[in-house]
Amino acid sequence: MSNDHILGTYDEELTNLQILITKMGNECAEMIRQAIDCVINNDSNAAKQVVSRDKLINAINAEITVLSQNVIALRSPMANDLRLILTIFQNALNLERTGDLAKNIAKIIVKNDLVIDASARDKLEKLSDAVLQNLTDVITAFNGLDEAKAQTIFDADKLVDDLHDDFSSSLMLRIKNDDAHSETVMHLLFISRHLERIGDHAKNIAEATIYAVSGEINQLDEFDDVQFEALLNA
Amino acid sequence: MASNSPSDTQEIDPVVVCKNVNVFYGDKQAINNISLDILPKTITAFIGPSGCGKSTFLRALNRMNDTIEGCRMEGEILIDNTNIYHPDIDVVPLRARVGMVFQKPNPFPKSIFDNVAYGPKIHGLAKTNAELADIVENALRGSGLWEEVKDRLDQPGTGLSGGQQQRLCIARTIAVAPEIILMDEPCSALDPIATAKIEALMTDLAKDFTIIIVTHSMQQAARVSKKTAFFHLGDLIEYDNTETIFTNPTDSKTQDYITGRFG
Repeated sequence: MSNDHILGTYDEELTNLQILITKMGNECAEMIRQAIDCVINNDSNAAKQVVSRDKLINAINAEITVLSQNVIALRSPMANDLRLILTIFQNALNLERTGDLAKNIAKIIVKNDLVIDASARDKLEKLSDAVLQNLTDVITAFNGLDEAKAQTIFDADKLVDDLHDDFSSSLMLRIKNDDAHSETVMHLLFISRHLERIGDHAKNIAEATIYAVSGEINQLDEFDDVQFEALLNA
Repeated sequence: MASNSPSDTQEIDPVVVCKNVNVFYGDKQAINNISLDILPKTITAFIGPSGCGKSTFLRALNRMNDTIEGCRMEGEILIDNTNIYHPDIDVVPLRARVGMVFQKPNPFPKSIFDNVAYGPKIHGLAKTNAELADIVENALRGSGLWEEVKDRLDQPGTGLSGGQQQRLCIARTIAVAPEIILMDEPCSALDPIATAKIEALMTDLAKDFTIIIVTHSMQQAARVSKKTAFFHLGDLIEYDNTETIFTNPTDSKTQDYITGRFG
């Protein structure tokens, strides 16, 4: 905050919310990192721990919901404060979904033995590194209400999409060629898709960051009014 | 300097046009060169910290400041294209045309009927007693009070509850068929239920009247008004659609005030 509220307790509540959302973001990033390590190492025991870690993410989400509700009900936030609370609430939902996707990746390892060759491993690591970079960058951008940094996520997400396309195309080709490990290939396709979706959630958080700072709803800029009306009435 | 007319309503002719208004109390300048347009049949809220000039500016709109010794005004305030500060303007009909409701309900020490009938009588709006009774009934209906008082119109107005007294004052104001109603913190002495009734009434009245309200309650400004003007230290800082003011104001002073960062 650039300057403090007259009521110091109001500042404390907003700071608590910001600390919680940053903690949630960092927990999600760590959970994704561990889930990918489990895939690469084919480690089902570690994967079970990743699955149980999702409960912590859900608990933080619940705490953010209650605190946001209380601030809205008791403080009647306005302008940038209102936008901050709305985006923290919205970001918590996005992060909660990334936690679910990391859990889904880990569950694949709990239930299956994957045989991953060097080429697949390389593509998976490139994709997961790009996704994790975007997620940690957007958490930093939101924490600092850094609109410029948030803007960089849009281009960075295109790289994630390209890496996902490249990885999934190579996997599809292996299916087409009757790869001996087609079950592993199918699971890797799901993992690639989950990572790409995590990238989309990072992009949503970038949009929310821009809205929190400027009040501009970036997503709608892609449509003009006529297109928007047509979509609504479709 | 704030824009004097909200962008999406420029095609509507304003009912009040204020041009370069300055108000002084003796040597002290309370309003600094404010230009502001008020749209017809719209609720406009004036907000700002104590001493910002919002009540002074409100009172300038029906020349209530004339009664304050040492108060001086410069600039023009046009209502329907007539400068209300022109020397030929008679303030008595002006104040019928631009009525006012005050912070504390101030019924006359008369019956409920006489409270409402007083204005129409002195302005000669009724030729017969039957016409006068009609005006009183319509005004009391308009203020949402008729059903509560129709069987005790001869009882003193001062015997009503605070909220009812304020609605009686609103009935008294609308009985003389004003064009504009000024409200200076009309709910600050009322409980939340009476406040809600007055706010609902304001929304109804805005179909027929232009309403300008000074309020310290930002929630009230947000609930009832379509336009909001933020004043600070005698300056008009920002004037825009109420939604914009409370969600994404342009000026950092407005944002700091409405988010509770200075007062």
